[in-house]
Amino acid sequence: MKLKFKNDSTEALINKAQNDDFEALEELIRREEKNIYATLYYMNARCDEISDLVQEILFKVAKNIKKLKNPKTFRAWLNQITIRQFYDTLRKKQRTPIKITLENDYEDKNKEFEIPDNSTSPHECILNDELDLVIKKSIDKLKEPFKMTIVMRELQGLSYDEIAQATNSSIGTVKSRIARARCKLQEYIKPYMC
Amino acid sequence: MLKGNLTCTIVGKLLTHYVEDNLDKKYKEMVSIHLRNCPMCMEKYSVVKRLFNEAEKKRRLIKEREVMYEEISLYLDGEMDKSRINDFESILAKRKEYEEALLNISKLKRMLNNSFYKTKYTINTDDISEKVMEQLKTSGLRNSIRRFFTCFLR
Repeated sequence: MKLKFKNDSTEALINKAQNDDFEALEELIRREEKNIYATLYYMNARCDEISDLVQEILFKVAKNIKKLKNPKTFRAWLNQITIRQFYDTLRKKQRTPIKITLENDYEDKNKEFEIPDNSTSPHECILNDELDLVIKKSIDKLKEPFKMTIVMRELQGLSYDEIAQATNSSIGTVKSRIARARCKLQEYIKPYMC
Repeated sequence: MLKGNLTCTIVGKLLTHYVEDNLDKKYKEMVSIHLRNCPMCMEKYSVVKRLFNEAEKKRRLIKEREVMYEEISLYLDGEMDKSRINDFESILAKRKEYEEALLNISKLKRMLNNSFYKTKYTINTDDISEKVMEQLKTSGLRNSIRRFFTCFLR
């Protein structure tokens, strides 16, 4: 964190960024990068794709920051972009056929065949605490809208109103999604609750 | 058998609608006359009615549970209407299942928050924001060059 902006609120940073202050803009997206990264991690985006996805999302945020009319709606707006980008990637992935090529085999005969390492990635190693994995798996078991809603609520601390704006749904829907997600999660995690 | 102007086959078909109270007055009357006079259909009716009641009870319980979770969630998330808080707290004091669910949800919230906090602060984002700023600067430069050339070519 840059000391210069230490005491600035997000809204103050947005105002500065909208007035072409590049340093403020950088600080703003730096503050949000971990939030988005973790959100995508719990949304179960592929580990090697999360960085690219976060970069694309933050680029969109940085590029369009002037279009944001009310700084108070920043979190909802940011999450709207995150959701759209996440589903876009999912859709594209479904459309792209898997390509299998034999060319490399002819070119590097001497090269040792690399076996993909499907075991835990560095990120997961850190999180290799059993409970954390149980929590991640339990969230993964939830259906898509419930997953997104509970991650936005508990991980990012968004209010019900902000979640409704980000997901384009009514407050009533958000309320029932949160309640049902908690009900389900509690069932899954029950054996680990003491 | 023709009783109440209806045969047993037709009554069999109408039975579920009769139990769910979806028939109009005329048919309802005809079915009930038939049931009073036909023990076979009456037996069928009692089985269907019992199943229907059980399903209804289950549905009601699920609904009640959902309402309870919704209220507790609102309360814990600080999203409950101020006017409702007092009423809710008195329900909480009276009903044990509410108290139990409240404890469970707050435990769950704590667990999730701890886990999320740990994840958030152990991930390495490889300075993505710096890369984004670089990307932004180059794209800005590219745009100004493009603008310059379009003006120039005109």
